[in-house]
Amino acid sequence: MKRPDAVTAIAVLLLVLVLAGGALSYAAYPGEYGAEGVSTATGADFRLRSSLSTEYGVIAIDNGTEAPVSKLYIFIDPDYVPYCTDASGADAYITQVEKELLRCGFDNFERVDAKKLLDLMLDPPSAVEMGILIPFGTLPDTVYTGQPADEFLNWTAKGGTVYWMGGIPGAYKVSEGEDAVKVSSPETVFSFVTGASKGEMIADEPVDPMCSALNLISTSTRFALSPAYPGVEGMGVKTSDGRCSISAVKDGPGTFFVIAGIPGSEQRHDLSILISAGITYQSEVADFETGAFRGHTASSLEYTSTNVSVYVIYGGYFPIFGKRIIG
Amino acid sequence: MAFKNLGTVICPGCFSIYMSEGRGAKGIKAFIARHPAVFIAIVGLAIRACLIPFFTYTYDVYHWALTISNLRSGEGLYGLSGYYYTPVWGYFLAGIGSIADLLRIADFGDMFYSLAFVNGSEWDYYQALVCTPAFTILVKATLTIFDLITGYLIYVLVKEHTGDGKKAVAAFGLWFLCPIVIYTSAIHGMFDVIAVMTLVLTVLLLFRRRYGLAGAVFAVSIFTKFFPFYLTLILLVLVLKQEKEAVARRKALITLVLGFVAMFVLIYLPQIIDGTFLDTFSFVTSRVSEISVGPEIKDVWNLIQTIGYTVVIMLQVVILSVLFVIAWRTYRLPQEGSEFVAKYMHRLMLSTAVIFLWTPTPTYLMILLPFLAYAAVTRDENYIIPFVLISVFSTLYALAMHNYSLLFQLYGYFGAVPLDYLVGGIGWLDGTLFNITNRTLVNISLGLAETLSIYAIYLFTYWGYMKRNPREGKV
Repeated sequence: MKRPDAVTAIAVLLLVLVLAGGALSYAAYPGEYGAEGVSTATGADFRLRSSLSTEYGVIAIDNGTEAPVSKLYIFIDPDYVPYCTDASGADAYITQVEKELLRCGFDNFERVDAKKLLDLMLDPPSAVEMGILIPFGTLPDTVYTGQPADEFLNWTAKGGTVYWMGGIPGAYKVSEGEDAVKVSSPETVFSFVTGASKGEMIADEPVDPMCSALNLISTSTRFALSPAYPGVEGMGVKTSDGRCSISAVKDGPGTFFVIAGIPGSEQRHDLSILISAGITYQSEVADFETGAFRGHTASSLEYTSTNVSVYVIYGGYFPIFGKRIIG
Repeated sequence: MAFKNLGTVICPGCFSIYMSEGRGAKGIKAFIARHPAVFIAIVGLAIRACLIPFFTYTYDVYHWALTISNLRSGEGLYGLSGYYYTPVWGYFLAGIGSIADLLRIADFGDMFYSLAFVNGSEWDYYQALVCTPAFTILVKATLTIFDLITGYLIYVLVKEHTGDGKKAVAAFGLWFLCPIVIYTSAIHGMFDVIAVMTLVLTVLLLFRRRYGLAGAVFAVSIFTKFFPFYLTLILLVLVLKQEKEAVARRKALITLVLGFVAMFVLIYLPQIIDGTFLDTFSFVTSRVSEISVGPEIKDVWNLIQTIGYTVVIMLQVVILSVLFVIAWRTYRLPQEGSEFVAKYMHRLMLSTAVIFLWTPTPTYLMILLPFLAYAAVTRDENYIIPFVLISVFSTLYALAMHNYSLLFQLYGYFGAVPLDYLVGGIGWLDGTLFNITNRTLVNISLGLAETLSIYAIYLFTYWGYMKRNPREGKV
């Protein structure tokens, strides 16, 4: 029998490899992942499983007197185009945020347009445990005109949380079908933006243990709140003068989180983990464990606090699965 | 893989047998004389082995890790952003991810916050999240295998066409020891070599009249990186010239097209099913974030790039026209047999050069190197000059583009580079001379040198023609 020549063999092998890779990409993935946890007298026991070799992190977060967000509204409206992108760019980015949230273990979100946003502001059921994402630094004039009496303020007044990305809070507003315009003095409505960063500064010091435990990756500080403003807490990575890639500040009973930088993949990553892990203004790491495994592993965390969330994330800085197993 | 050289077949372990016979330097010399291709392969692999664990262009390799994590979380190749190419390389990444899983490589990368100073740089492609040596070794070892197979295919091509083992070894050596080939796979971690390997394989299969297989492999080539598409016409000319009879010609073309279409459908089936087909061409439309704040054009380099993209788009008319003319004139060649093959391969090389009338990213140039090496060893040894020029200047250009980011892995995982060195170096690149950054000046200079080294091919083609046809004044 004639032996097949090497060139033909290479060609056939190559085609087989490509097709096998294609099949693998969609048939073999995702892996099977799971995590469970129970509270104990000394903290929590957890059990993890993964069909793939992966890094894991299990983080116990003491939330003080606050409750993690359990429902997220995302503002996006094609008729109210933000200052930094167009309608299709905004939609594409929000789609990515939604997928990232799902990957990190948070599935209770809903898009709202300008009208629905106004409805929420006029009659917030009780905004505690509810968050709203303003992704591109621009509010619609249905809820915000730059005046202290604006409806948008109802949200935090009722205890809600705001996740702000893409600019200094309150710096832009937009009317239906028009271009976004700058608001001259956003600090008259949001006093905490006084001294917020307009440019980029080098942030190379992680605010640990939170930053490393949650594998936060954004190092941008553009639009970060000033640490000089009373009550501003920093998370993520900080500059030498204390400006952070994630800032949090109380606004009445509610909370404002500012995710600094131009909305990109790093901000999306940090935002999704922040929400999925249930981070609040008062959150502190009570205990955490990291490692690598394949198959099953189990261990426990030790803490004494009572208002604790335990969050699990697989994949290290390349997350593949997340779940809040307690709280 | 065994390299046959002048009737000798190498078996694994031969080298150690030579050494164990106690011949020392003489033994090595004898080994090299008898098995030069194996010696070149060993040297090439040794060079790569020294580079692979330590030097990495972090930005692209980070995206390979991100792609695998997207696959692992069930988002496919295009569900979450991070992968901006046609699917073939993504499928290889799926395989690399599985090997990582088998080898229990769980840590793909770590954040080195001290590298966050790069945020202040004008260049956006520094990455503080640096992939682990284990992961990068896995990626780059895969690419090195393709380097080696490509070299073997070049060897076979030259050997088949000339019957000269020495020339075949020389062509293999030119490829496998070429700095930009080594750089692209062993440092950059970029997959251009797969497109090159499949292109050379397509040419070999066409010469062997295995048209169905050639069509399928060509589909893999095009949908790995797009540049082989430019050579469609001249590859079709080879079929037309080989098959003189109308029936055989029709059959060959149908088989070729069927092979191509079948493979295209198989490659794209997942994206056709999940509705992400158009996303696979995002490298043509956009690979950057849609969100922007402030003016896009930051400095002279950005301006040059913006103008450059426009020029590249406009040049496509010229490039496609010239490629058509070359293909047509090749079709009209009166020569047959080995004479035709020699001319055909020369024009194939010229066609690969014509693709880059503009200044390409250095790794793109790899597509012309197998054919330039072929021309240098079979047609005109003076082609070695543009080969060397392209190799050197494209590598320098790549080094200048990626600069200090190549040391991030060495800094983060081995502590072998002080942070101050990186800060100072990147700071110098961001420094200005007459309001133009040093980075821009270096890039312009080396980009120009790279372009001129490509153009040197035309110069040597003209000189070669004049040498062979001294009385005629035109090409």
